[in-house]
Amino acid sequence: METPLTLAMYMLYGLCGVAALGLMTLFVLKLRHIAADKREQACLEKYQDYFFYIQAYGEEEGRLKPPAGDLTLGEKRIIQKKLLSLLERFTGVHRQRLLDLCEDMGLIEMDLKRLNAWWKWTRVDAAYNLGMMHAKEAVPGIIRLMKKGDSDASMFILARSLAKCARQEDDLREMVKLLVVHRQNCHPLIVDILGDSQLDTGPLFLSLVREEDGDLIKVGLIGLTSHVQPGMDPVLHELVDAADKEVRIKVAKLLCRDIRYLTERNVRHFLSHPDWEIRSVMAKAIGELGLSVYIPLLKRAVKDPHWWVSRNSTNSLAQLQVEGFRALCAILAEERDSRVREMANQVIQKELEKGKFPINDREQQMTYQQKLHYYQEWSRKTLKTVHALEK
Amino acid sequence: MNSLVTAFHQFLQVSKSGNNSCGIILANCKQLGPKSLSGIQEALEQKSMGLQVNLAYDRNSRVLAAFLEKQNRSETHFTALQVKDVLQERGLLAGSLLIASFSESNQATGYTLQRMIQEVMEMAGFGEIKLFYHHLDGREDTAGSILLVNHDETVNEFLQIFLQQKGYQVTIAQDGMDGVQKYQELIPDLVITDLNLPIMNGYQLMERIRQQQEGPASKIVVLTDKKLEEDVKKSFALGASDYITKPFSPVELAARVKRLIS
Amino acid sequence: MRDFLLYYGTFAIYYVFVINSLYLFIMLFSFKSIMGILKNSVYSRYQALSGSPHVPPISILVPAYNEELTIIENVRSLLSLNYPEYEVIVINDGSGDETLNVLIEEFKLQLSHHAAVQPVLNTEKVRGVYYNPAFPNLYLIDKGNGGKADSLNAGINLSHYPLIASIDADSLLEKDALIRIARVYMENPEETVAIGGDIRIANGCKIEDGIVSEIRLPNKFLPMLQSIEYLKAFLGGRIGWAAINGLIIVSGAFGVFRKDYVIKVGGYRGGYPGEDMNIIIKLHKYMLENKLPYRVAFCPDAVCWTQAPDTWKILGSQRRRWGRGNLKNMIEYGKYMVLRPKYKIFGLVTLPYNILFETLNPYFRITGLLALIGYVLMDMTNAYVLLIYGALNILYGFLLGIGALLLEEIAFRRYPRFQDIVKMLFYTILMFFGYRQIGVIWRFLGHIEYLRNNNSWGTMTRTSWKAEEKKTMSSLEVRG
Repeated sequence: METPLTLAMYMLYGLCGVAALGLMTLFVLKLRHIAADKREQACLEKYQDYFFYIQAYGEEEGRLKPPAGDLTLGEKRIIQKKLLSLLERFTGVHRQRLLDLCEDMGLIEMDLKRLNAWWKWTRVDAAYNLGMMHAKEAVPGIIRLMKKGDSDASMFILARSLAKCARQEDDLREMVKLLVVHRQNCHPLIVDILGDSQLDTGPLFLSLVREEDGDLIKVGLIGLTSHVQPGMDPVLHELVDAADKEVRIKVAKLLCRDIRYLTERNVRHFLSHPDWEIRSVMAKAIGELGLSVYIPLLKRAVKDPHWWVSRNSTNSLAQLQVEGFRALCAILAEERDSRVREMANQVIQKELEKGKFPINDREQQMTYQQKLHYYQEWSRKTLKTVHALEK
Repeated sequence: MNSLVTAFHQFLQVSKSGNNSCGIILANCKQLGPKSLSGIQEALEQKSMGLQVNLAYDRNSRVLAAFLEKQNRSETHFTALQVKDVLQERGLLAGSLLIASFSESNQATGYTLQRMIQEVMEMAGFGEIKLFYHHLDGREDTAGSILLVNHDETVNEFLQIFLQQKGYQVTIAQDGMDGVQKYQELIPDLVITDLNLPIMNGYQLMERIRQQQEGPASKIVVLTDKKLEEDVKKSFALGASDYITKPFSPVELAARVKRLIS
Repeated sequence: MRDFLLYYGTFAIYYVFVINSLYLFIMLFSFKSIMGILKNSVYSRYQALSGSPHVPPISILVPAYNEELTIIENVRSLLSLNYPEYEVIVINDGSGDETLNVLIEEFKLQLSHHAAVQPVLNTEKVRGVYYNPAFPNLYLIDKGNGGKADSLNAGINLSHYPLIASIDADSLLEKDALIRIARVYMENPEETVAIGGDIRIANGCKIEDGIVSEIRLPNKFLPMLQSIEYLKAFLGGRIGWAAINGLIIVSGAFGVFRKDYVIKVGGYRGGYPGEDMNIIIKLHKYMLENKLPYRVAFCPDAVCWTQAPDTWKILGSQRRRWGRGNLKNMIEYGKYMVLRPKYKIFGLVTLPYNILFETLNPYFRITGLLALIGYVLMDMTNAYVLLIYGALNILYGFLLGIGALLLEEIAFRRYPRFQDIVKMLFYTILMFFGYRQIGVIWRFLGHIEYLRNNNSWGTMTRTSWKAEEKKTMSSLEVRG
């Protein structure tokens, strides 16, 4: 029985060795970090006046001067950190001055070299710095890194840097394509990254919507919701019946904001669409855009089997002033389905509750009175029916 | 009369630069002999790589003056940094520095210089660099008071420097609660606030301010990361006059502030 | 007999050897991911993201039971997170104290008759929903007592957004914790079904206005031990497990989920502890059975601070509860999924690991230790066997502690002083002189409670713990 125990003994020795190693690494790392922190503090203090100078004279003509004297690499990095923290908060003339300063200090060159380092994370560091410094020279390098890199989260750091550095729409398009290749469905994130770019991304989104690839279309659609472009209508109309459900839903959302699109034919089409999301979006839009003419359609939509469609329809009716309110009361009176009645009732109560707070606007007061009137009429009617039944 | 003024007049004559800008740096120092003076001059020229610096020193007031021709404000300030460094290296600095810049050198008179000398001798502190304000620059003494409520230290530091240069009086609060307190104490002309503040958020701050409006209303500018439409709507509904998202252009912010305060 | 004891004792030694080596192996995965985590946590522009309209909205669900003393501060802190669009739904789980009234009074909430509650999941009767338009993101649900899972389900019924975050009423979230988790979600929204946050011990830290203003190690003995325990478990363990998509649990104190998938697996399982592990197991099961690509992620830079129990009694009750929950989950789900290739890493690695080394841990350890003691008693010349066993345990534990501290030092550095590391290392070793052993016994007792169907879910225990905690908290942390 000695062997397993001798094995255990060897294990113990091995563990001791590894533990000692780990302990040393830990202590060394900790001490290095503490020393680096101290150095950083000292450096920041030393250059405090200089930082005042660069913050105070951003508006003056002429470039800001780099700090006098020779700077060690460590000092350059610390100053770079401070410059980057300022850069990310400003735009305009101040940013341009800081960018010029970064160039004059040789920081851009420094990081361009590091873009080819052997350790992945040095490359990512360099790409990040270059992005913050909006260095257009970095674009080919970063594209190269994105092409050969793996699909972990560093991809997004590179993409953001690329967005900031890019000076041409083609570079941005390349970036989107490289991200989309991994099929991670991160379209909102891509649109957010594109928002960091200094180029106007509207035309880019419009062109993406015309692509074949479903993911590119989706990115374009999300982008178009905040950057409305002329000439997007024909493309959107085509995509309404796209095969991809998500595309359809996004297109519907976009179209429902456009009152010119909402003809009776289209409204009917959407309200009876097989996708519940589209029905729901349409129902909501009618209320938001105040299209009282479609109240009868909304009344029918309240009976929709899907909860969200039903709810958006009742909410929309509430938004459509007196006419809509009357329709809600009518639903209460006529509908047999208790679930639908309950929902309509909830919305009615919410509207009536508003009377608890003082209403200053005369017109609003009048509308409220009318609603109250209809409601009281209805309750009287139902009470009568109830009495009739009881008898 | 202070020997510096004489030296200054000499400098003006020699440079013949009536229409160019010039800068003046005054520094409190310890006793300087002629050798130290030339040493300082050499060191400065070495540091600034060939920049012409005219030094003068007054033994009685122990003030060192540097006259710079064709240097605008920022260049003057930059040179001042070198002056401070050189003096500190040699252990000769005995107080703070005062700098001034004139866009046309004939605006600078002996009288201005004397006022500057007086001010620099009265300056407390050690190693601080202050800017001298003179009316010829077209700046009012105080353009207005601003309360800046923001948790971001970098932005606070920058805006304090930036806006103070423009002549505003800037107070900083780091969170909503502090902001309300400082507001009540100061009643500033303008409040620049973020929405996302610790303890009490920007909306609550704006509501409190609204509740307290008795005299002329303070204007509110929202400076924030939030880009959602609801936040914009809500801010304006609560009484904000402007809504600026980060990253922002300081020049634009200054323009809007000026418009709102005037 | 002596030989049998020796064999069994040797087997116990091997058990320790395997379990710890597996743990070290998982920790290697943590090391593999740590640089990526560090760089992402520094470079992902959270400040700008916290105002972006592209970030998905979240419903934060806060079940509250008898939290009258601290609920206001916690809700206030939740209402001021760095996040673009979200709502806070507090669920009063039939509290016996003034939790409900305290909230209604503080935020001037009014009973709302028209809050649309979609009855997707079954819960105890909801007595009312309270709301005030002045606080448009705050909802209060008042319902009969049904436990934490039931409350979460009620919250899901009311929630308006596609993501839900389950938060304990006494969790103190860091301001950017939620946006950090959202970033992880946004990088792969389709496949991410759940994301866990990092839980750290707040005892000893300075807390002002619901924010941890100064981070310090706990002063008391028990919280200090738990502090290093959590560090090992979260940094050393969960990062690694998440890297291979084998994470078995996302803390109930701070976790974000896809609402639609939670509904699909039937919501939270109530009536018994361990619902946080239960929901994750169900999610794994659903996604694997339906062959959908997915991941259960862990975001260690999203930190939530929580008060740890500082008395043996309350700690014991908590650990017994965990033991019960673990056993029930393994019996309900584990045994059907374990070692079946259909369930990939989860079934082939996570579950066997969990069953052998967590659930059955007490039995192996207790019997192993007894066997060794028996053997040694029979023949004192072999006392060194016991020493080997002890030393092995301690050294492994120490090594794991070093690893966890290394991970912390590389990426997070929340304990900046050198002496903090020394203190934590010291406690890592100290753990093996009593704390671990008691932990094993508590787990075992938890199993006994399960078998006896003792299901006091600690609603009682929670009150007493809270009351004691409040005494210490109020003296240390209330701002003047």
